[in-house]
Amino acid sequence: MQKLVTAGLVDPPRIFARNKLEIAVAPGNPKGITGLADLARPGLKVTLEDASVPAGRYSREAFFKAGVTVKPVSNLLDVKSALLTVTSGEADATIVYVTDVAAAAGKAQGVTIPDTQNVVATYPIAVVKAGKNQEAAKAFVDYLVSGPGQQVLAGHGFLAP
Amino acid sequence: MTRRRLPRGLLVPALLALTFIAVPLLGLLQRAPWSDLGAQVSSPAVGQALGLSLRCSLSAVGLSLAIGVPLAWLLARVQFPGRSLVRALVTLPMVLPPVVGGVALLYAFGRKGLLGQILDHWGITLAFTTNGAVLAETFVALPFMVISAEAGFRQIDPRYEEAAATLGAGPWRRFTRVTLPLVISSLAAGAALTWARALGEFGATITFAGNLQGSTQTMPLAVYVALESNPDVAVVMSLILLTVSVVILVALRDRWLTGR
Repeated sequence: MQKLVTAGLVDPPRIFARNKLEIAVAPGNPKGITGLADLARPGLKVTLEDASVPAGRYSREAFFKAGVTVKPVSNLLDVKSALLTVTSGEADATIVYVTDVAAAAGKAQGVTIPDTQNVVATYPIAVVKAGKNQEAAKAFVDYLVSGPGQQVLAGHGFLAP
Repeated sequence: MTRRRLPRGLLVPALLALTFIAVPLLGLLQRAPWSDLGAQVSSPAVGQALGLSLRCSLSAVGLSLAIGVPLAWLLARVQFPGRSLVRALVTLPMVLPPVVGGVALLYAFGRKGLLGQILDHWGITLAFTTNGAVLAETFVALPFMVISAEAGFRQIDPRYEEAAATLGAGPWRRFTRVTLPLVISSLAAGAALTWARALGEFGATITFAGNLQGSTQTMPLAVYVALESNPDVAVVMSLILLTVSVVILVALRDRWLTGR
């Protein structure tokens, strides 16, 4: 988004949602994971997202805040793949967003990360200046940021902007 | 048999094929950050990825030779019920999207997999390991070996082996002294294809073996990861992989691949 703003291609962006990280484990939490510190347990198979994607950066930030060092067995390229490693039983735990655990609908269970260690991701939206339908674009942004769109987002687990 | 004169009718399609392959490569070369090539090339991640790629792909070729050639021999020489089904089965990994192949490998050899459960019981782990990367590469590349080898075995006149048998040569001697020399160029061509396919494998590797620098992050994975944050580095790494492959294949030269 910053590149677009610097290039003058979009109107000023607005935040429409936020998201937090959560530890995803198998239903029933068979390994008894209670927090980030538990992920450093030897013998536990933890997967993370690669450091080149936002979720990967945030996860590592959270580990830093918690003072924990974790060696993942794999660095997946996106949150869905990371979640799949847990839902398929291949890994014991991973870190994804709260919305991803909610979307897993029972195939994964979440372990909360306290706010002091957690990282908040913000999602901006902006109207593209060269767009053909400016009115509709602005209406959609309003719908999302302050209208009924907020309820839809909240229903999926996103935090308010 | 190679001719000296160019048949005009084939020239245009042949040139089209060559252009189709050459232009994207030229695109890569043109976009490469030639000015700081040195800094990018000497990063440890690149060296590790390249070394891992070479080791895993060569292991995959070795494994493919060990299990693929016997299968190819059976398919070529023995009339067994369901032979055409087996032949079709062998081509399946080529049709399967690589990521799906990786998922299938997890369902088979992963911790909760069909065979994986038993292996896990014995303490053998394949998913998220370097051996897993070799397995993933072998899975996608084996069909190339089997198909090339089978074609090679089919082309041999069985009378040579029969003659050797009448002269008293046992099966192993017949295979090593008569069959193998006749089929070696097909095997070499198959090995080259297998190696190339294994080297370039991405989807099955990242799904089954994972992505960990130093143990499972082969060059294609490293390129994809670099693409997210630094496309220039990705281009350089791709060029390194290309150069290494070209050097090795050229070193093998026509002599090995076509037998003359």
